[in-house]
Amino acid sequence: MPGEKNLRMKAARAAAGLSQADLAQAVGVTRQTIGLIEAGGYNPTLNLCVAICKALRVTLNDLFWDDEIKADPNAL
Amino acid sequence: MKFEDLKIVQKWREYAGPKDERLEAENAKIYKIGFVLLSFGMLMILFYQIIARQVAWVHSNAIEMPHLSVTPVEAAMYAWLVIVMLICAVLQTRKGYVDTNRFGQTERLPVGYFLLVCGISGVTSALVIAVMYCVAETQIVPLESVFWVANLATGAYFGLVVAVVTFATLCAAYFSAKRRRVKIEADLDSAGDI
Repeated sequence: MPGEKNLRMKAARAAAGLSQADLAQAVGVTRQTIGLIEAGGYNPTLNLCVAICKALRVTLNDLFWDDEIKADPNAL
Repeated sequence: MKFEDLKIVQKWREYAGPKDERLEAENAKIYKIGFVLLSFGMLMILFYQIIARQVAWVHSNAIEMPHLSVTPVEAAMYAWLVIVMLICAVLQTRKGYVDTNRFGQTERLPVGYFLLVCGISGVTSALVIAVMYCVAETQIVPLESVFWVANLATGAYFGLVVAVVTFATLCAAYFSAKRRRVKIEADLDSAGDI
């Protein structure tokens, strides 16, 4: 998979008691799309991110914002 | 009335459900590959057909009058291909870009990039056309009768033509896209939502 796994989304979905299929139906996409977002294989549009957040009753920051500053080995 | 406002369209949307953005994106990629394969494949086949006829005419000592290189049906296919490619180019320029990389929306004409594209197109076309002539000839005459140098020269000539035409087309598309971009930005500025 090209991206990083979105484990926070997976956890939020589980906490909301929704399966991938349930969430997919709630936001109007296929189950594979939700699976790929969680697996880091698809980069969703902002519209879909917002729809997912609303369905899971969380914020964009909760699911899609990464505060960690990745260490750049080439940086001084 | 907009297409989306039609009752039948709304009913269909209710029936078919919302569109999955990932599938739409995947579909666009697949159709892009399909378009390139179809259009360039058709061009190659049509070119080869014309070249084969020319070569056959030359090797029959050119005693017959040269008949038309393309039939009306082939001409219609050529025309349709050109029209489809023009529509794509026009739609791109209407959106204000000529390419999807960093040279797509530059303020100054990206001469170096365009020359690189033209060079690659010209050299590729020259080689492909020369090879097509050679392959077409080997189908009807022995190897020692093939006009290798003449075929290479013909390929080089057409390669040069392709390079020049490509450069002119890219420049025209660039200036057209730039004008359109200015208009789009002016419309956005005049909306007063800033």
